[in-house]
Amino acid sequence: MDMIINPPLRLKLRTARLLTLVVLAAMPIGYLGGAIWPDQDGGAWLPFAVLRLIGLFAAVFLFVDVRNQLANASDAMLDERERAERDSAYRSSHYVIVGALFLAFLYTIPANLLGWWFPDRDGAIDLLSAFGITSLAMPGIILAWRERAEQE
Amino acid sequence: MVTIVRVPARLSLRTAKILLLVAPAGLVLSMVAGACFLGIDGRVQPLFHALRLVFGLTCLALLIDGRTQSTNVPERFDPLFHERERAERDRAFRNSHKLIIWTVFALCALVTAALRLGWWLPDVRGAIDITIGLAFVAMGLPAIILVRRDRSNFDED
Repeated sequence: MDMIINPPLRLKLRTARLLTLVVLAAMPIGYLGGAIWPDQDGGAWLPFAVLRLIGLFAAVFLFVDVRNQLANASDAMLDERERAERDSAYRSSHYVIVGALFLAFLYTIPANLLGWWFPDRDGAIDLLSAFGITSLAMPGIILAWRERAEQE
Repeated sequence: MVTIVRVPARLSLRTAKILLLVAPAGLVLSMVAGACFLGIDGRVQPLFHALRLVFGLTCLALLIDGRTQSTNVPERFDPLFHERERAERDRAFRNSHKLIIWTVFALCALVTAALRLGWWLPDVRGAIDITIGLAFVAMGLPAIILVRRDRSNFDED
């Protein structure tokens, strides 16, 4: 039996793309900034905390949007073209995630030698969480940028 | 259509399946053990360096094995593969994505619990080593899933 995708939210393509940019900018800046420049209590400064919240809310909107629902749909719910687009998005997402991991690894080489900044344990957990949430949204983000405007 | 991607090596399915389980697990374990059991001078012991090298090179050899080539070549080579091969590869990428994300969140939960409960945590150098090990495994994860799912008869090899 074929199943139908019934997404809770159908964002316009332009809105979805804007939200993807918000996620890709606010999450790294909010979490990385908060880890590099913690306040006196070891937490994140207010601007970074606000950026994190904005990034998280944008990510939630993307998660419930139709594009992310497409990315998580089973084969039976999609036609051949949609399946091909979804699978291609997952492949690209894999390369982005692994590339980001190796970039982080590359940073550690000079950082170790030259005494550059490293996160403390709380900062590392924050960064790992941000990486996980952004990676989770990545197939949907790629689908939003590959979608053609006339499909809207 | 027959796959005509030229491969540098082609291991038997049994060998590939065993090595693709042992090598990544060994790499991550040797990274963790190296960070856990530091030498007297606070550096990683030579034994763990040797183990990391062996498992790392084995992982590298497996990634150039013929069975994993469909996960390594760019999308423009897709027509060279059977539809079934492409479907299996794509499913491996999807499952790999899920596994990586779950591992990241599991690590977050583990480190948070370890901080609160006083369990062992690596120092910065150890954490970097473990991350490198996990990044290598993540890179080859679609290939690992693909080979583990291969249902060809062992006897055919």
